[in-house]
Amino acid sequence: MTVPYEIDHLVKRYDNGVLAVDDLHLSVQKQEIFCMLGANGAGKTTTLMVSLGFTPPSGGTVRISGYDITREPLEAKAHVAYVSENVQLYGNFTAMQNIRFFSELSSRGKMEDAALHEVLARVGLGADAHKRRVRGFSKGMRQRLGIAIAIIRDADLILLDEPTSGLDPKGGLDFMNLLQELRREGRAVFMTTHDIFRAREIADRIGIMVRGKLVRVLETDEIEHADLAAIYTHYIDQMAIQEGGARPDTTALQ
Amino acid sequence: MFIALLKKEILGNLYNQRYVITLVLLTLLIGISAWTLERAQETYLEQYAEALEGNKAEAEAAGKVWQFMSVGATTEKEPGDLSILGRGLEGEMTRALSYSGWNEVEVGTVKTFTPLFRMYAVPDFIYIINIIGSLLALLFVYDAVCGEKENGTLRLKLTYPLPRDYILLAKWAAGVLSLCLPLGLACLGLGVYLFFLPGFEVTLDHAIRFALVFLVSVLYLSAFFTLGLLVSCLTHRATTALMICLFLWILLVLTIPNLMPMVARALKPIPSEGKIAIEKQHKAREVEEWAGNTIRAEIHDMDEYHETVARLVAKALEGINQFRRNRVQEQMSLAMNLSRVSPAACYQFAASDLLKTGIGSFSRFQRYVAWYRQLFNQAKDHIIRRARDRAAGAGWWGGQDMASEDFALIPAFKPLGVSFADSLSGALFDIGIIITYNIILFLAAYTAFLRYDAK
Amino acid sequence: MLWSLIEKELKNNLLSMRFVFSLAIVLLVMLGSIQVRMDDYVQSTLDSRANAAAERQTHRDTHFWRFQWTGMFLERPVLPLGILVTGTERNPDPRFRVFQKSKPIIRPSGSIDRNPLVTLSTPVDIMFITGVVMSLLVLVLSFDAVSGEREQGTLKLLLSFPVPRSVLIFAKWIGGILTLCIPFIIGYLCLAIWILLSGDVRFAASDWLVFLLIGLSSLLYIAWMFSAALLVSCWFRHAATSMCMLLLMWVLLVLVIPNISPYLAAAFSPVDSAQSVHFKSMKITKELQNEENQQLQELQKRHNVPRWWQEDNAWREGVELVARSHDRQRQGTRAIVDRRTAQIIRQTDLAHIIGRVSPFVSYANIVTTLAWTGPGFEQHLRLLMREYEDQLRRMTTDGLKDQVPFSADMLPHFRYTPPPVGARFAQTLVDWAVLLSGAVIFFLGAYVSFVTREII
Repeated sequence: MTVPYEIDHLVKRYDNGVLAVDDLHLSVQKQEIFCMLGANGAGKTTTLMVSLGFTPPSGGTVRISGYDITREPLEAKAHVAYVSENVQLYGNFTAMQNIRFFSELSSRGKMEDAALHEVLARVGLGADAHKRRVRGFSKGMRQRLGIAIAIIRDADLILLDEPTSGLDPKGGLDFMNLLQELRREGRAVFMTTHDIFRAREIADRIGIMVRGKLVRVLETDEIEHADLAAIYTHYIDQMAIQEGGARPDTTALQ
Repeated sequence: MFIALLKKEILGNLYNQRYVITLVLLTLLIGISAWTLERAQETYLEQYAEALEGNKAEAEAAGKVWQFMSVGATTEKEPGDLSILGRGLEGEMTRALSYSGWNEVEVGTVKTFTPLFRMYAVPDFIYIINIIGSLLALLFVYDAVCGEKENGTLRLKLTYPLPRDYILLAKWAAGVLSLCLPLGLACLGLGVYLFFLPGFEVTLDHAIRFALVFLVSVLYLSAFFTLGLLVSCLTHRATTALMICLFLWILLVLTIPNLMPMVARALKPIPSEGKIAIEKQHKAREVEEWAGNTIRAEIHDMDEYHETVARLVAKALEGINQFRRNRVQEQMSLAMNLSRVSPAACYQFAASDLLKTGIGSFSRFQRYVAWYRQLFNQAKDHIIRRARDRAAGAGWWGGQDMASEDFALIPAFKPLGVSFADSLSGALFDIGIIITYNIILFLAAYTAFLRYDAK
Repeated sequence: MLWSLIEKELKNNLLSMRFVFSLAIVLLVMLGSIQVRMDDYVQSTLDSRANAAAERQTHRDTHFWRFQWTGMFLERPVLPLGILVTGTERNPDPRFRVFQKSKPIIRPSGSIDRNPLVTLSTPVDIMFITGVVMSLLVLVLSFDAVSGEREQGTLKLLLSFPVPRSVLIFAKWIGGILTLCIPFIIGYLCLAIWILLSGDVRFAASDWLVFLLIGLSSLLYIAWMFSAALLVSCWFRHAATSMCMLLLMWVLLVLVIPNISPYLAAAFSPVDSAQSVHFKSMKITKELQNEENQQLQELQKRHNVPRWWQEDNAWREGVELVARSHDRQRQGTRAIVDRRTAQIIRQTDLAHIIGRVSPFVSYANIVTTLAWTGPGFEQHLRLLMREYEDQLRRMTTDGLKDQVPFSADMLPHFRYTPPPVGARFAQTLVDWAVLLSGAVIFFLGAYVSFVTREII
């Protein structure tokens, strides 16, 4: 059985010398939600960028359903769906046109309109929104559309980059429920976030990343008991002390 | 408070990448253009010297009076010194003009090196400001208001206890000042270049004209800047504003000034040269017949008779020439008035007039050409009379040798210099229009900004 | 998949405001200018015909002896294709004096009394509309083709799909070019319909072929511009930066280099002034004239007559002699003109070589050569006028020898036919190649830049 998401000793050093990801090693199994916590510039997003082949790794590998993203990018991408932090789509197109276009690009091939409407309804976009241009959508609606586009790809692995930031409470809750559903369907979910409380609610495992290093992974049984906030701030403080009180330089990573 | 706003705007411009590009581009282009046109001017001057010598030699080679009558005199205007900055109609004015005893003034070819020069516009200072400067001015300002709205700084600014007009005024003043800076630097460089150029003598007249051209350029650029500001105040997204600005630019700078002369040509056609020639032929025959019937009997001396008829014919033909000239004038003023919709045309008219290569100078030159023809004809009559006296009944006067005093009779071709006052009065109307554009556009921008929805 | 991507590019562009704007501008300017230009063409042909008729009339009372001194005016032909491309025919002098004794056809002749504004402005024709206006619109439509998607973030979403980057950039290229061609093709078709309907200008089949070729070259030029825009858009991260860079490039390529290149060429490869040709030819003429006079005197002595035109045999011989002398003069002066023509060709070629950095120069060269209003036109016209002069020479010599009275009806009609379309097309091959290779190179640049660079 292949593992949906496998990161093997990943190192990413940018051209300007900044070490963004330092020997990252983890895997996400099917039916599992993995939340990656970390401050701005901890290397979470870079991990995703490398995982999607947008930028090559400096060392180590990323495998998606067994395919190495650098060696077999197209096969790997056929098994992954991605939702960005702030979903932006083609503003001139309606929601339906957007999702239809992306459905044509996905490995599953073209889908019936009825099926697409169904998916849109599932993520909570009302029928009136399907025919509207995306330019006028609120952030929550765009986020829903983004997850709908991820759903139609029917991928084993879903990568989400801080999906809940800027959503209202209702939107956030709906989103979490949707992720639970996806997990039940057997998908692996990898999500980066700053939101400790939501992570605690939903995650099967939680990783903490500080300055490119995965410093701690909390297993399912630990999550319930541990004081996540205390652990998280502890690591950040420790890091700050090691650096001699200097604030982490985050600008280059953003 | 206003000063703080102004300072922020100016600094904002100075740090702007677009601004730096504007600065570099303008300076570079003005430099290149000055260099190339100066090289060309050297050639024009050489050719002028060569033509002067050749024309003189050709006229003096005529030994007999009749030979002189057929060769006549060929003249041409000295290349204008300021045409390096704006070639305008200089090419039309420096053509060779052949005056002969019998024919019409014959105009030589336009002095370009190859036909290719007729295909593209001359990249002179006026062209650079007119076309490229206006584009840069619009690019510079299109997002001044709507861009600030888009990134949210406008809302932040409006939360302070600032009157809205201060904000706009600061933007406008800072923008115009920052536009003046690169232009001023480029002009200063140009002035220094011309000052140290061997063979180019900078006089007070040059300095005043150049300063005024700089001023008109600033006014012109500020008109386009204000137009961009207005567009920015009327739109809510920077890309829309950019679109509209480019659309207006294409219309005002590329289309109207170029299309209107052709529209005028279609609305007020000038009779063709062939038609005029036929008419002249008819007229001449008419006058000759009339003379044969009336004054033939009164004048007994054949020479005197022919001379009188020739004078009468010339007068009648001059009337036809005048008619054509008036039609040209009408078409020209129609074309000018139609193109004045665009400040670009006004700028072109005003600046070229100030550089002595404009429409005003050209009309003046046309009048001088007609006037010189009369002078030449008088001299011709004089020479013939002298030759006739010398011949004193012994044979044809045309067979007489030309005397050196005869050559001295031919007037020198010296088109009057255009005084600064003349140039200014010609340019004043267009300068006024540009100023009016500035005021109207600013008021419109002001009103639009006061009502601007900063939501 | 490629088709889905192209379809998306097309739809996305067509739905945008900018597209509607561009279409409106192109239609407005194209149709607005063509009507004015057609009116102008009708007026010019009428004038030209009137001038030609008037010219014949002025020669009603002349005689051969005088005719070979004065010569006659020939009208500059007005070509119907000039309504599409003005080229060098901007406010030209309307006629040439040919067969004037001792004077080579060097200077066209016009009146100083004319409207100079036409000289001052740039003609609004297809070359201008496509070369300047359309190219600017191309940049406006495509400056954010890649950098805009990158800024928005849709590029990341797109690339998270199993789509090869090469397919993506290729689809962008094809989609972009197709969208840009639509406004031009619509405008151009309207133009064709307008020309057909108005009936003022009659295009022959070969003219329509040229019309088609000009349209194709315009599309190629648009493709060049778009490819350059795509490269810049791939290169820079921000849409605003790419717009600035593109406008900078546009100003240099379209507004500066074409206008500077003739001056640079003139600085390196000078051409004698028209006046100097005149002076040189006058000198030759003078020498030959003296020789002619001497020979005529000898002739009189030989035939033992006081005036050579008073005796039939002497007359015939004298006419032969004068004709030969005129021919020699003409050969001498023509050699001087040819020398200058060669200089002009050299300078024009040099200007083209320098200018080919800019696609506008290549494009201008293609359309002016195809419409035959470019630098080649006047030289070709002069060659044909020389043939006409030779015709007049033969006619005059025969007329003088046989002592027939001159009649304006004897003057042959001068008809100008441009070289065949194939020959004109062959002259433009280099420029087609330059444009095509430019478009391909820029596309490849965009391709390499897009495929190899990190997307962050």
